Amino acid sequence: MICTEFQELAAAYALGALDESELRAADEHLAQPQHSGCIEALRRAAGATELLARSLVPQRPDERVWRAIEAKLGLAATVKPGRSGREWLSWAVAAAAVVGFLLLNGARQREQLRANEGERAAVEARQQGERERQTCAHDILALRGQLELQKTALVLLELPSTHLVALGATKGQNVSALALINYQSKQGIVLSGNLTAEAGKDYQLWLIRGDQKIAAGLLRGTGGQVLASIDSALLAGAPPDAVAVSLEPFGGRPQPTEVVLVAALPKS
Amino acid sequence: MQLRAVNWASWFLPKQALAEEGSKGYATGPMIFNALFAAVARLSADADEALLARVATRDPQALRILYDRCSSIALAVSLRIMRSRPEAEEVVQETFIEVWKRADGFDGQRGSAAGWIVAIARSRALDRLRARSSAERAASAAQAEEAPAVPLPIESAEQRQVRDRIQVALSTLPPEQRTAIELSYYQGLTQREIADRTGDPLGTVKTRVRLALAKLASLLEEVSLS
Repeated sequence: MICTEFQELAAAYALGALDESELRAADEHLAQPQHSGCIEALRRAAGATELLARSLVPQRPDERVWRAIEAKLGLAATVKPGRSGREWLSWAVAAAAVVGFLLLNGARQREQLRANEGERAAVEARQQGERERQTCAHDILALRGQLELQKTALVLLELPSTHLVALGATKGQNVSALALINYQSKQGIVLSGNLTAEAGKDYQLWLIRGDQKIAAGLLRGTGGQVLASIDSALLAGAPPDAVAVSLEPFGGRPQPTEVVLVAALPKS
Repeated sequence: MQLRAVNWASWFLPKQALAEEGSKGYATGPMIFNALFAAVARLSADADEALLARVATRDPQALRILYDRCSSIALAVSLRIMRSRPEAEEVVQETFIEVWKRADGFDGQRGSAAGWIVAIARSRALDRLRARSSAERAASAAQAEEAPAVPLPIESAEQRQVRDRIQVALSTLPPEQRTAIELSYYQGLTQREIADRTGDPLGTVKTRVRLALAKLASLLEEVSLS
């Protein structure tokens, strides 16, 4: 099978509609190291197939389904809180005991020192594991935060009183962003698909009211996809005159220096 | 929804500082929605992939979040295939156990994380369907026809908007194309089996499948769901 033949079959492959012999030939072709558009065709077909699933009304499984998964995989024990801390403590106690033993047994000092180094390495490995676990938990929380913002953005979209404002790029800038503002619910979201700050810099959001340029948060995300919510207190009272995004040193600045996007806001 | 034009001269930037292309364009409804869905869907897909990567490192919290995000669509597909909620829930259970075990085998180049999870659920549901006797299948189908509405659906605003658009796209497919992909997707029939069942030539069925998926793929590009 050559690449063009596979691409003809990609739709049926993604659907699982190939006969056994066709499937075998397609799998053998995909296993080859070089392709000319096959992976793209497959991804496109897989995405189209996924749409069939997304055309269905989602159904929440009963909670016992998750409990059964947890039980079968033994996950409840894995995430038992405080376990890592206790383990760390036990390793520390063991290391201290080894040190005490060395002081009392000079003849075996060399051997024990080696053992002690092993224990210390083990303790450090445990500490490293704990740090990684905390980083992971932090990442997951950040993901959750982004998902909440996405949901808020879509809820805002459905409200008839929501203003949708496209921010215009300043000269020389090839970036774009959208602002969803709802004065009634005092909610605002700014999102973009192409804002990637270089290392050591951040995109910062501003609300302009009269002579004031009010810092309204940093636009952060991954792969150029960023979302930021506007604090509801900033939308209370008289509507701001405009919204802007500037490129600033990491962490932002009290006043904007390099504005890259700007738009006027509606008055009500 | 009120659309606001971007034709605005900034009072705190010199007028000439505004790029022509940035200051004269007016946003249109579909364009805005597509851009918004593109950004939101991309973030969502990235989140699923990041979670799956965490699952591959044996992170149970990531599995739980992924389960919260994807189990409802996995159950919907399984239920549509099995026509039995208890069995469909068993399929979801098996699916996420498999996700836990095989997460490191996920290839993001070939499709989305959510699509991969749904494909596992569908495959397991179809395996069970094939294992049923014809009498059981008939009983299940009859039960499904008599059953009242399915239990309360849960759906986010994002899912509902996407689903509405997909349903519109599906409804515009010629009936024979739609039948072909539904027979394959929900009943696991190959193109040859579809041809046998419908009495159409195999080549015709292949063309229908290809055209139907191509049309859905166009929608996919429009809303950037991949």
